[in-house]
Amino acid sequence: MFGSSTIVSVKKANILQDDAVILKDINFEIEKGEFCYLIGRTGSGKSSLLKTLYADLPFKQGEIKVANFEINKISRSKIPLLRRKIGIIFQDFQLLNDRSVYDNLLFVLKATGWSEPSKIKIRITDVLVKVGLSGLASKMPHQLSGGEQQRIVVARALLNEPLILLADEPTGNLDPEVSEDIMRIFFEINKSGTAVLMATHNHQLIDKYPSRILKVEQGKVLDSAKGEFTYAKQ
Amino acid sequence: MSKHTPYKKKKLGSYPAFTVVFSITISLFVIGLFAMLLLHANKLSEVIKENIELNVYLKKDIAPRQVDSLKSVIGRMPFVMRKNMQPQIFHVSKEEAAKKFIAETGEDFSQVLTDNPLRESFVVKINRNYFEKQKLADAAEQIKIMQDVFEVSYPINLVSEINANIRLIGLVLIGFSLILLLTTVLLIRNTIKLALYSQRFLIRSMQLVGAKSGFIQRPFLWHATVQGFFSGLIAVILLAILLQYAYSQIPQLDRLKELQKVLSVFGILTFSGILIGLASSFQAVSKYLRMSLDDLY
Repeated sequence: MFGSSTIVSVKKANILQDDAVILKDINFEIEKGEFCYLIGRTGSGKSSLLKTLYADLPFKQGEIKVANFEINKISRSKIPLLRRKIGIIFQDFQLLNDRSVYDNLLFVLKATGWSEPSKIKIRITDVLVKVGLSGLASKMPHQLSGGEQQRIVVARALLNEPLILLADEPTGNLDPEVSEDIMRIFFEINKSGTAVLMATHNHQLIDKYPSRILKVEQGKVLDSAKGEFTYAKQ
Repeated sequence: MSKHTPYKKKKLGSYPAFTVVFSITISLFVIGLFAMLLLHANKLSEVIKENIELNVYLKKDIAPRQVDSLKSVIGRMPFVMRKNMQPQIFHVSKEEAAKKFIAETGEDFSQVLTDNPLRESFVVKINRNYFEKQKLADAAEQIKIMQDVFEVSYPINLVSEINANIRLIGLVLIGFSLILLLTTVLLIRNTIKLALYSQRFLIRSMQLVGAKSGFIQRPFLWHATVQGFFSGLIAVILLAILLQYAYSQIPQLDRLKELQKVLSVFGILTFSGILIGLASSFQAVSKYLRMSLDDLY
């Protein structure tokens, strides 16, 4: 079942928050290079699901494998290694506010074992070019607009060439035009073989760029690929 | 790195390094002050102990040869203090005693009396292990039963009083310093914990982008080490200035000066600044590393 091309595999999993089961007996898989939306009402458990995938919520009931790490068995010391395999895009950015954009990216590279200055410089320039912000390297995060900060977060997520991007409402606070920019970047990344799982409320985007959808509803996850529901255009 | 950051660091919410250094400095300074007090008090009691002496008065009209032999007999006794292997026992002749008497009382008895009524004596300095009422009495008794000895006297009340006081003062000082030490450690720990509290979300962000705990901790520990070192250094400099001032104002204090011990206290102070800083920040960062998001708010 679990081939080398399967990035995320969730089997009979219960997602808990503070001992309360919010998603029960969920099953789905995401293959290499897939683009997948995650939709559902606010508070339905989308964020909890994503957090469980990057081991920010304790998970014990069921089986989840992400990038070959077994989340139900993962030890505290292995969590950083898991997070290096996945690019995470946070709704609240999680930039290090005490240092410049360049140093934010530098921190991630240093933390993940990069040591050669020339390679580091090239890599940082690369990702900044990819998100179209090469001129902002010396700015502090608080000097940037929301859209720019979000693109920096995307750049950061790309640094270590992740197998999958997990994005939690990346366009949540952004205007439609900036949202489109971010989406275009996502698709570009996706084309190069990185899977994307994106939680969103933005139905215009789904209408415009249709793809597989996972819908979180009443404690269940419904998969459009398995025909468990059909998405109605709005 | 700095060439990429032409903008000044954000002030609000950044690590309050100055406050931390200031607090640790004050704490170490107070501890150091107490240590100096203890050191000098200890030396004072030693000086007092070294100055306790027996006065051995001799019978009248003894031949100088006998005086010498008596001196060497007493000199071999175990309770006599030795300096450079030499027993600290000094002969005071009648004439010297008279001079001293006249100098102390201002009464020149030689104008009234034809004969010098004072006796020859020995001043015997006492080994500090015998600085106890009963032991001193035994020592005095041993000398007193010797031939040619007329009388032995020593400041018996002074001895018991000093002994009692030294013990009491020592206990009080040590008790205070223990409380002070505890307070200081807690204070420094709290200061650093509070300072790192402002960094808790930064620490969390670092975790979320895949940094290992050790990597996140390292810069914090390094900062704490540097801050601890400088706090210790500043405290030591302040103490040195204060000590110098005290020596210059109170000349008698110079007798209690023990440079080597003072220097080692300075070293220990700097070292404990580093150690307490390091341990406190390790503890605090570890705590925030283990916390879940809900606990951080």
